[in-house]
Formats: sequence, C-alpha cells, structure tokens
Amino acid sequence: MRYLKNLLSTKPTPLRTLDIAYIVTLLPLVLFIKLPVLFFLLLVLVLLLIGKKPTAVTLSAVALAGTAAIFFSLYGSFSFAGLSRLKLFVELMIYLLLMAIALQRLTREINFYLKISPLLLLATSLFFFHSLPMLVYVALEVFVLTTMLVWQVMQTDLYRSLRVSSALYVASLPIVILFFIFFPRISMEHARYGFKGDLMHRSGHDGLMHLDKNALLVPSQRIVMEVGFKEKIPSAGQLYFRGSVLYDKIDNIWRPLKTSRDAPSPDFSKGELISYKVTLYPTSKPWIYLLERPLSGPQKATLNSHLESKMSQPIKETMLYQAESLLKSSYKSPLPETLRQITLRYDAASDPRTQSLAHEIRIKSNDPRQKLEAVQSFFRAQKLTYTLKPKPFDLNNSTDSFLFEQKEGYCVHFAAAFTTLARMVGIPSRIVTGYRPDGSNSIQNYLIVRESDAHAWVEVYLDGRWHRVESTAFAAAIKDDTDQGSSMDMAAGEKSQWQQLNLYLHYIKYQIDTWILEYSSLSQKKLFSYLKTDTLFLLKFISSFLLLLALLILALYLLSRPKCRDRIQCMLKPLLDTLEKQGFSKQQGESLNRYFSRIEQAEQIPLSALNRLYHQLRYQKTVKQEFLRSFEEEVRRVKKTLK
Amino acid sequence: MLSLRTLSQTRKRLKQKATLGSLLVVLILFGLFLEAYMHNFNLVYIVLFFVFALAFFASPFGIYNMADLALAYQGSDRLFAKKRSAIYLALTNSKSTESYALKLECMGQNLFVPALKAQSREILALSYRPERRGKLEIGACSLQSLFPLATIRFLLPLDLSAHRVVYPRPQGSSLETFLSRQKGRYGQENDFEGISPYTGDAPLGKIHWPSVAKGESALKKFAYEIPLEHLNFDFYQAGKNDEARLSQLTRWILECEAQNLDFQVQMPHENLNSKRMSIDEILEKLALY
Repeated sequence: MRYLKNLLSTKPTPLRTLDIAYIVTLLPLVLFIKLPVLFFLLLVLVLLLIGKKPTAVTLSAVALAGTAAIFFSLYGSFSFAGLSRLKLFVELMIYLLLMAIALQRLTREINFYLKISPLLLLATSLFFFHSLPMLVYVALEVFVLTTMLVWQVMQTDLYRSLRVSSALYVASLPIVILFFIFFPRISMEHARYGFKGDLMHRSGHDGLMHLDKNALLVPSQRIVMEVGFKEKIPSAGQLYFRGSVLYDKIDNIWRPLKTSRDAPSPDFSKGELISYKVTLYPTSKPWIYLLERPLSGPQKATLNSHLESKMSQPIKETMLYQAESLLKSSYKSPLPETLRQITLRYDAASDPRTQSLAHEIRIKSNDPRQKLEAVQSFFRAQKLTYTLKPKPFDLNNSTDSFLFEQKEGYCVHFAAAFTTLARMVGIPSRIVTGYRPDGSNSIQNYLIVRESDAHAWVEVYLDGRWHRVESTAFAAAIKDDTDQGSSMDMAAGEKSQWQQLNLYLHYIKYQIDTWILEYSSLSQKKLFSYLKTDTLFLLKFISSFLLLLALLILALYLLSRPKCRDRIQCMLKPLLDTLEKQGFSKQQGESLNRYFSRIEQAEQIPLSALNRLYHQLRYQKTVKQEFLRSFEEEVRRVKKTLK
Repeated sequence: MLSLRTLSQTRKRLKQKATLGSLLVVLILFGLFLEAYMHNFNLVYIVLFFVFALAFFASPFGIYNMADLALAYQGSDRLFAKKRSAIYLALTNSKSTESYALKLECMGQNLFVPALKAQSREILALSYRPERRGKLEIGACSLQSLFPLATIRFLLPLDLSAHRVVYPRPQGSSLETFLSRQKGRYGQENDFEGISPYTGDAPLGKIHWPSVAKGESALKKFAYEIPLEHLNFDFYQAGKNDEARLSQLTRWILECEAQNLDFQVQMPHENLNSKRMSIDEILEKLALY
C-alpha cells in the first residue's frame, strides 16, 4: 500500500515515462521476436542497469551485437526478394527499430525518434496479433501511453495524471465506438501473421470412421466451431452438422468415396430455411460442416452430390463463413446404378449371424419400408446399450459382435451395424459423420460445437429420397460413462455454474470476435441493413449507445470532481455549499470562525456549536471518533434548519 | 463538470496554436490509417480512432483547464535597475476543478505552475531584472499550457495594467566613505571617543569603570554615538555623469535608510529631504530624473 502511495506520488522524468512506455509496448513483441534479438535486448537492459554512460566503443560493440542478433534472427528466412513479403519486412523493421532505440536509450539523451518509438512499436505489433487478449492489451497500451504523455506534460504526481488520462480516455470512448461502427470499410481479407499458438485447434474428426481401437475419436471439450444463428437455434433433433459421407468399409474403417465433383441435385421440397454464421477452428482436414440439408456454404468450398462440403486444402486457419440450410431429415436425390451398387455392398465373408437375420427379413417382406421397420424393430429388441467404453469387439465380425454378443457401443458401432444390416436386407444406405450438438452449449442464438459432439448417423435410400436414421436412438439404455466426453445422445443434464459461466465467456468472446475483431465491410452492411429495416433493433442500438454515453458522462464527472483530501473540510463542504446557495458567501480572506459568527449574528442561524466542534477537531492533537460523529450530526442538523 | 458555456466563453479568450505534437498526430493518423485500411486490421482501427478521439478531446480539456483563471498584480520588492527582484502576482483559479501545467510568461520571464487547486489563489514570485531605471509597465503577460497532450498550445493573454518605478542601480562608494570624506574622520564607528557624564539610566556596559574608581561617574562614548551633522548629498558631486550620480545617490539613500539617518539630496531643481518625503518618494524622484 505504501509502495502504491509512493508510486502514485512520483513525479515524472522524461526517461522514466519513456521506459514505462517501452515496457508496455515491447511486451507483446517479446512473444514474437526471435531469441538472438531477445538476448540483445537483455544485454542492453544489463548495460542500462549498470548505469554508466557508455563510451563510443561500448556503443559500437552494442551496434555490432545488434546487427549480429538481427542476422541470426533472420538467418535462413531472409532474402531481398523475401522483403516483398510483408511479414518479413515488418519483422526486419521491428528489429532495426529495436536496435536504434537501444542505442539511443543507452546514451540517455532523448530525441524525437526516441519519443515516437513506443507508438511505432505499438503499430508494428498490430501486424502480428489479432486476438481477444490483444484487443484488451491494446486498450491498455493506449491508456498507458496517454497517461505517460499527460504525466510528462503535467509534471505533477502520477495520481493526478492518471485521473486526467482516465477522463480523457473515457471521453474518447464514444467517438471510438461510433467511428469503429460507422467508419467506411473496404472489403479485404485479414492478413494474418505471427503468433497464432492460441488458435491452433485440432479437431478429433478425421472424416473416416474406425471400428477398431481407434474408433473413439478424442472426446475432448475443445471447440470445433462456434455457430451464430440469424434466428433462434433449431431444436436439438435438427442440429446435424454434416461432414464426410462414408460408403466403403475396408479393414474395419469406413471411408468416403473419391471426391465427387457432381453438384447436388435440386430439391424443391419444403423445409425451414436457416441462415447461420460459423467460426470453424483449424482442423487440418478439408471438411466444412454445414447443417442438413446444406444449400450454400463458404465461397471457396465445394458442395457435391453427397452433400459433402469441402475445401480444396486442409483448413489450417480459423475460418469464418456464412451458410444456409434447409432443416429436414430427408431429401430428394437420384441414385445412379454405380452408387446403388456401392450403397448395397457388404462383406459376405463376415458377420454370418447378421446375414442370416437379414435373410429372414428379406424373406418376410419385399417392401423396403417394411424391411426398414423390421431392421429398426430388431435394433430395439436387442436392448442395446449406449456406452463410450464398450467391451472389445471381434473385428472380423464386428456387426455380429455388436448386435449379438457385446450389445453395447456408441454412435460408430450403431451406425456401422445399422448400415451393414440395412445393406444386407437390400436397402441402399450410407454413414454420415459430422457433429451433433445437443444444444446445451448455447446461449440465445449462439451455439458451441465441441469435439465431443462428433457423431455418426445413417442415411437410407427409400422412394427416391435419402432419409436420415438416428441409429443411436435405438439404444435401450445409456451407460453413465460420459464424464469425460460426449454430450451427444445424452439428455441435457443440469449445467454446473462453472460450465454456465464458461459458456457465457465463450459467448462474449464470440460476440467480440464477430463484432470487433472480424468486423468488416460485410458486417457493416449487415448492421446498416438491420438499422434501416428493424426499428426495434434501431431503438435498441440507440438506447444502448445513450446508456453507454450516460455511464461515460457519469465516469467523467466522477473523475473530474476535485478529490477531497481533508476529511473535516469534506464533511463541512455540503453545508458551506448550501450557505453559498442561500446567499451567505464567505468573503475573501475571512476565517471560518468569523464567517460563522457573522452569519449567526445576522441571520440567527445556530452555528456556534458547529464552529466550536470544527475548531476542536481542527486543532486538537488527535481526532476522536465521537467528535467526528457529533460534527457530522451537527452539520446535518444545521443543514436541516437551513431547509 | 465541463460546461459548454464556460468552454465557449474561455475559447473566445484563448489563442490556440498548433505544436509539433499536432503534426505528429496527423502523421500517426495517416500511418495508422494506411495500416488499418490496407489490411483491415480492426485493432489498428481501434488505435487510430483512439488517437483521433484523444487528440480531439485534447482541445476541450485544454480550454477548460484555462477557464476561470485570473492573474492580478500583487506588488513587488523595490525594483532596481540591473538587479534581480521579485514581482508578486496572484494566480486565481475560481473553477471547481484543478488547473494543470500552467506556464506564466511575463516580461520575458517564465514560471511553471504544475497544478493550481480548485478555487484557490497562489502567489507567484516572478524574478525580474530591469535593465534601466524609470517607469515599468507590467502589462502583457500570458498564461500558456500544453495540457493535456501537448498537441495544442493554449495561450491566455492577460493584461495586468500595473505600473512600477524602477529605481537607479545602487552603485558607487559607501556611505561611510562619504562620511569620512566629509568629516575627515578616521577609524571605526565603534572606536572609543572619550567619556560623558553619567545620566542615571545608562546600561552597565556603558559605565566607564576607571572613572568610577576615581570617584567620578562617567559613561563611555563611542564614535557612532557622536551626532552627525545633517547629511547633505549633492547631485553634481555624487559622480561623473547623471547615471553614475543617480546610482551613487541611491546607494547612499539606501544605506541612510538602513542606519535610520536623515539626509537631504540636493538635486538640480529641487531639494529632497528625508524628513519631508518617504524614501520611496525620493528614490522615485531619482528614478524618473
């Protein structure tokens, strides 16, 4: 506390303010600059701490060390042609700037360049960082730099400078917000460089479906994507984010067909049209996840006849895309003969018991619908258990093992067994993998999809349409072994407070990402169109801004109000103000004693007790609490009399 | 709180001048704009808008900082030519908030006031060295401030309309030299100068004990106790030229004042007598000669 008090009463020196500015602006760059330059900065710091004014020889040695540090930092990546790449160019600029600052700072002489260099460091650091923590840090950096400038101009203690800079900062906020929203933007993609460790997510979904020991894809809580719906979130039963479509089972791995370039056939049947915006984190796979049935996705992605959406390259960076889907569980599509053959293919050498069951079903009926019902009935009758930790299967006869022996598994096993049996009875079928969040990770129109939401379901072809079959729905029981993982297929339990808080934090982050970090001409157009067309939104927008403005004005008032340092004087001030308002002004140079006596004599206002208490408090050695209380009461009493 | 009326009234009284800081702000805005626009970096946009907004608000903050400030002349020490003396000015802040980083520029002198409390008055002592004797007008002063961001220099011209007289530079030989020349006296002022009869109320230290031993009551008498004849300074004999004479006379007058001696200055057209005029009146006559 004493340290803080001392700090706040510190007077500025030009070097001190500059050093603080350097520390603040250098901090994010430390995460980015290479080790040799870091060592060079450390060397400069040591020289500064030693405190001696460097000789020309020392400065030359430091310049040499700086050059060597830059050389080793850029060794291998540097070429003159490479300078056309902005990242390398900016990196080199930063290193040169740091070396220049170091050399000038060592001389302890402040020049113009040294003064503006903190701002240059801030501007260059923004080439490399583009995240929520940096947003917070930038706001802090601006505040600290303003405070340092104000402190230097004012030449008073830090506390006063902080109050002034806070007031300036608060006053600036409405302009910053208004400009940020309404300043015309151009449509350019974000250039991304530098430190992106925090953005590197890996999805557990690899587009294949393993039945062996690799079957359980990491059921982690990592976020795969965040989805913001234009309207409210569809019900949990409709949240199927479609990924790869699997046709072939080879070595206990279900695989997709080779990339099809056929466009999906148009489907004019009715369904609920839904628009949404997806933030997909890097998956290192090309799949784009769209709600069933997808209509449009990102511009660079393709949508083929299997309704798979893919990028040409694996997704290595966070992707933002708008998409539209028709919410329905079946859709019309032709089934070419070759594809029909594939969707009826199964391994005749394995799963004899399932084959015999399929034979029985086929004998009983020829109608595909009845066959499907028979398969579903069989699944129900088997009293299968849903568990994320099933017993080991016989991989040579995985369907038999699942349906007749172990009778437990999870989506992968359910979907694989259902597809196999459906194919055996003669119903074209395939497996679709993707994500199926249960909606528990959602707030308003915001939904988080986690790795644990990875799912596999079945599509069967009947009457010229592909129908979705939720194979896990046939589970008769659910084993409570999902503490680590999937929320899928589970009844949404009560969320703990921590989970709820976590979800809210994600929601805030998502909104900040959407409306601040990724704000673009597109978002601006969208906002303007809302403002033009939606009166309620316009009213909300204006009232929120006015509320913010009112809060800022209040903050500004509190900051610009003179701080009362004398407790007794502060207690007396309201009364003095009231007297002043009633026309009893204190004359220039008049003591409080004379002032009170004058008013008491002229206006018959009882002030003598207050006068006595005031002088007792003012001149006695120690201030007693009861005196203070009596004084406060007396002030209140006199004020009441005045009213 | 900022009041628009106060702002507008103060703004009319103020002169605002751009500083190097303003140019820097323009350059920074341009640089950040390019960075933000070319790469659509929203963080750069935020910094850009902050710089703009802070620079924008520097003006009202700076104007309000200069509001309700008044400067009044509060007198001075005696001013002598080529001698540093203090001129006292009262700087009053009658608004309810503090004023910061004020620089008083008056008669070529600068004085920095880091903070002036709300509704308070501070007496400033401006050290000043007049170059020549005569009338001195303390008029064109100004309060300047770079508060808050050094991007604008706020200048509040203040007219004090005060006059003072700068007395001649006290220079030349001492009064003692003058006296010794007048009386042909040698030695120091506290030299023993004989005895005088005992008066009955003299302190013991003054009793001349050898006389007491002889049965006489006598007191010691020192040189400084010998009443001097009336000091008469003649303007023409005080120096070789007018300035030297005035400087010499000023010195003698000041020494007479210090020793509480009456004197008379024989000027070309008038006689200045310390019994009839105050020292300042006499010095003023010399200053305006």
